[in-house]
Amino acid sequence: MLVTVALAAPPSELRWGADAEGGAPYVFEQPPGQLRGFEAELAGFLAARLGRTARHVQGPFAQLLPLLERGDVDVVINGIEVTDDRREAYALSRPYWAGPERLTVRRNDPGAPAALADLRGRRVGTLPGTLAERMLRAAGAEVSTYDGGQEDPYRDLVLGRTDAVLLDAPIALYYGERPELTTLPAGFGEVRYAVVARAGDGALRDRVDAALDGLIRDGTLPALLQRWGLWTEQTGRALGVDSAPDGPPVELDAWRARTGKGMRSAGVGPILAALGRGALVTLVLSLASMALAMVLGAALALARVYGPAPLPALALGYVELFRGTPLLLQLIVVYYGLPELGLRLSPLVAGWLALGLNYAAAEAENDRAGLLAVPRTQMDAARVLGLGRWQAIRHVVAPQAIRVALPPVTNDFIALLKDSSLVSVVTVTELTKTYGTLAAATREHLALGLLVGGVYLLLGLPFARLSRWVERRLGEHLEVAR
Amino acid sequence: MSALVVEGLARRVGVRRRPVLEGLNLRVEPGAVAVVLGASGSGKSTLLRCLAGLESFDAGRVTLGTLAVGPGRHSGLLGRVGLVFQSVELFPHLRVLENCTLAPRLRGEPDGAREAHTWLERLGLADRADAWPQALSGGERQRVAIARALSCRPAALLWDEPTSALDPERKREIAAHVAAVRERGIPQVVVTHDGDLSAALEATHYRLDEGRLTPVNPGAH
Repeated sequence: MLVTVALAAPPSELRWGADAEGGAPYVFEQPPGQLRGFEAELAGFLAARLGRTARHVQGPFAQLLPLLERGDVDVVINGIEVTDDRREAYALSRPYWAGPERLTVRRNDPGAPAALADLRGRRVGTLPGTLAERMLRAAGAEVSTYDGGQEDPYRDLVLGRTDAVLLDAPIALYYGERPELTTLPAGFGEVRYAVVARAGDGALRDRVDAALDGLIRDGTLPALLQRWGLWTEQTGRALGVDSAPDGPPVELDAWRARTGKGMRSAGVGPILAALGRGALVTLVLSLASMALAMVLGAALALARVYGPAPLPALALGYVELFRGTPLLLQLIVVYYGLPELGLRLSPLVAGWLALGLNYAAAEAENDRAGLLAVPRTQMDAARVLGLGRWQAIRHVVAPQAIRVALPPVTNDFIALLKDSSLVSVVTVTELTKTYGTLAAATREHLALGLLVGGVYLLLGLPFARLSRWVERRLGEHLEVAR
Repeated sequence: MSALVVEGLARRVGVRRRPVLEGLNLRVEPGAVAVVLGASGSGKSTLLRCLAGLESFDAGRVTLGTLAVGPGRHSGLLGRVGLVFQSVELFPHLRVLENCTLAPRLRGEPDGAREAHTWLERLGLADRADAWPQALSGGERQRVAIARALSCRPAALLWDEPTSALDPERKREIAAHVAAVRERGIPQVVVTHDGDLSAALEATHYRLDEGRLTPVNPGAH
């Protein structure tokens, strides 16, 4: 009987899903640990109008709508485009922003495309599943899509891996402004963003619409968009506001003043604190998963070597299943698949369970090798002395088997430490996810990458040492002089 | 102590149910020794494993005082009959004394340690109680195996080729050890093809042939 860890939110909260990794001006962290962005502010205003407090739930962009359906969030507010498909599958609010796609090219590229018609056969970067991608495919471009955030397409354009980037105007404004790049003044098409609720949650959508109406009427939303430099003619038409709001784009100016200035702009302290939090999650999750894997693995190995039928066949089936399928698949099935059977696990529990179940297969094979390395006659000798089967395993076979099984366990733990980075797909912000967010914010991919790599090494080292010590202790009887 | 009585013991092995023991009879009085000779493959090991309780048998009965065991899966002989393995089989992760006291300790016998010390001393191993098995000579290891079997106060003791791994001068000691156990009134069965050992033992001699035991004169093999 598995324990269900339900994620029922108190009704006083508005849980809104968004991906903070590389998400300016939508949702991002600056300094690390502090949520910013025009949608972060919008969520706060909406929640206040609904009489709730806003609670951000982090999720990978591609998983935000599954998270919504899973019930982990009440709404998604993260530049979700209004499309006919989505109108059918979800309850969409009225748009809170509208604007064109913008084409960014290299400044010194004599053959740079200047219109959609020039893109046929050219390599163009964008984000997957967007209006921009559909426009590029219709234009006959060779499309490169990027899952890792909004920074990546522009970096590849600077490096010459693509010839152009077509993305929503806010992204082009915040990520396409670089010395090497220029964004064409003319926009293409129109994209609209809406708040997304579950299809069956029309009541919440209606209340969000009413709240948006209020924010438009009292000028809060136009002023908010203006501060972020995001006001467009299309937005004015979509919101039904005739005159452009006044005031300087202070948030855009602040972003321009900070970006590209490296880690100093974010502050070394907050960066180290964020990495420390990520490292702690990675370490605790890995230790707990390894503990589960070792206990379950030992049980599987014993079932396979000493269990009565049909236990050995079942244990073998388990090992083949979990060893033969990708950990990422298992993780997604545990988190997004099990709720269909009524089992909703919290992100950490799902990550722990998936990692533990997967590594149990590896540990079972280690332990089995250890058990088989002990001669069968040792079991006979123990049985003749009157030890029961389990006593013989516990006092005679297992102590000898552990010594054979232990060295690979350390190896597996270090592998697990690294594989734990996969749990970011179920919204756990561990070390690698923290790195992604920080690197996107500071554009210091290399220096931060080396730093984070060093943290992983430091996390693994004590366990390599511990294993050598335990090995020595267990091997004491082998080191005596004859 | 009681006699070890084997009546009509039969055992078939493998998919083709090849008969190995066919109605074997044997009686060993308390303090007596039976030597079993036989070519390799004649079923000597199967006989010992059946008597020790490691293998079940298809027909017959083994009686040790009030304990009577018939054909079946689970044998009541385990823990009642000592066996000195040809390969010795000390537990390498336990020191000498721990090898001897493990079983009595798990059975909750408080004087197991005293019995172990008694036998280690008798077998000249008193100063080796804290040694690891790997640190011992071949002869010492075998004596630890004997002390370990006897620390469990077995109702009978079985020896499987006890001289096979020993130097010639060490082989003579085995006969002395068998004699020491005999003083306790424990019935013993010694399986060997070592003519020197069988000649040195005061015992009834049998040959295992076609699944049955036939008495032979010592030295006549």
